[in-house]
Amino acid sequence: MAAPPVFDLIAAHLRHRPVQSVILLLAVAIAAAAVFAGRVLEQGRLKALEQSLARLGADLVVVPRGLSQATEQAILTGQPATFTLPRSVEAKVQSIPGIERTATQLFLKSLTNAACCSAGNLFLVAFNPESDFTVRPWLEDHPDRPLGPDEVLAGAAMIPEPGDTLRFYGHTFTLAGKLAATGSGLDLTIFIPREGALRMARESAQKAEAELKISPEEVSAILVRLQPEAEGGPPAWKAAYEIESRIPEVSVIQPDDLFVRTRQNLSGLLTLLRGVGGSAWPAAVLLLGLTFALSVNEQKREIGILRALGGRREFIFRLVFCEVLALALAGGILGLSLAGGILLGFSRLIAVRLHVPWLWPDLPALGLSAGLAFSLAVSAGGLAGLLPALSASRLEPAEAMRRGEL
Amino acid sequence: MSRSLGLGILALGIILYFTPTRLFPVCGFPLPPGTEVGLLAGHACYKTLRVTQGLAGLTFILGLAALLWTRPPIAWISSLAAAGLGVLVILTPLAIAPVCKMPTMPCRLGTLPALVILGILLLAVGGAGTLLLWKRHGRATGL
Repeated sequence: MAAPPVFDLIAAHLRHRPVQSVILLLAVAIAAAAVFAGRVLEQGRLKALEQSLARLGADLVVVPRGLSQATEQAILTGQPATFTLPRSVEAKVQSIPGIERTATQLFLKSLTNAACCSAGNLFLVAFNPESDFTVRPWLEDHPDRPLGPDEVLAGAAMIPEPGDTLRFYGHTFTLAGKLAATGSGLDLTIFIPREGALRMARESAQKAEAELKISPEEVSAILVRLQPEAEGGPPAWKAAYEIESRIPEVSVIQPDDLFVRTRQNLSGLLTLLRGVGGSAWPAAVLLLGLTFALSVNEQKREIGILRALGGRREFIFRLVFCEVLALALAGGILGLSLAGGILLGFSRLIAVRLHVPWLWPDLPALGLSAGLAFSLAVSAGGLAGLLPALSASRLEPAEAMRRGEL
Repeated sequence: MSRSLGLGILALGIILYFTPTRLFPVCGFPLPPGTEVGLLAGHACYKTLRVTQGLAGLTFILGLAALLWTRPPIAWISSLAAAGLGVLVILTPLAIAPVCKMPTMPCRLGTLPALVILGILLLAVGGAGTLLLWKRHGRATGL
């Protein structure tokens, strides 16, 4: 007798128990989705963090004492932070051995609900085009286009396009270019040449709804680049310690340290996803295994009939094993699709709510995460299906039919 | 079949109605007590909210029709119309009544993707219903 097609039998069996099939499908889907989403969110966060710190281009950032956290938040989320230091601090920093070069930035923010500003509560950074590290890559990519005092650069997430005009404190600037995306607050920042910012402040008393008071002798942060350690330069931690002990009015941010701290400091959702991803897989294996073990036990009579009609042990094994595997495959695909869809739509919202920078990971990393999540789902099916399939295939026809009737 | 289809469309209509005000609110929502809705009319996404709620109302009516009149032509027409509404829901925040432009605005971060996903779901439910009903009854009734 020709054996009935395995997949027809599997489909009929799954249709016969829709609630059980859906529950098992969802269990595998949740495990796959949590593993995939957790990995993608984590990889995206690290990529954005790396890009942001690379954009800063500094080994150390010197800010007024006690304001390092506000500065870190401004860099990571674009939440404007405004504070000042006397510009003379830059000379004190430069006098410390091992400092290769410094650059200053002045942090400002645009007025909210004011006709004199194109957009409210924007983080504006006044920089010195000759010495700045942050926008240096853009300037180096455009050597034939020096930045005028009334020309600004914008982060990648800003809507205006090069050539558009922007008004801050009543002063009109032209957008000269947009910087590459970092996924952090730097993407929502406007970089204004220091000369233009000072001119804007001078004119603000007449043109703006509120005067912008800044002094040419003030800065907000001093970006520091150290001599390479190979050339006898100090390690970043030692230079930071040296600066803080010699200049008591400042705090020093170490970008490398910020990277490590932010990496370790997992937000609630990521911790939850890690937990769900870690525990859902063994739970799915257990659920699938137990359900199918019970199912085999309940269907001994049917298995006995199949065996009596000529079904070989391999056929019975394939029947049970492929059913678990089919559920796991479908669950894996469903989980990946769900997680992918949610990430595609809501990744920026998730990043904003978690206050973390975020960029889509590179395609190979994304593929690896999808592959890992899918493999876990399939292996859950494989592992869970092995024992029930073996026990079903070992049943003798007469014994199976007798036990099935009890 | 027609009843579960009707229930699905009805549920999507209800979710759609509350998406721009409660689930993934547009800018300014939920309204602080005592605020007049008119004050928000300046936001581009206020129009998105109005259009979405209109479409949600139509979806609800279609779901109700499919639930109450299970005769094949009505259920088939309801599901076909629901699929069409799905396309309109997708297009609402993107083209018909676009959300605000700033990438950090709540409507762009939350309402837009939520409406696109709901639109896809509505399109999938309506499309699947149309196909299944046509397969089951269409040929017999000449639809």
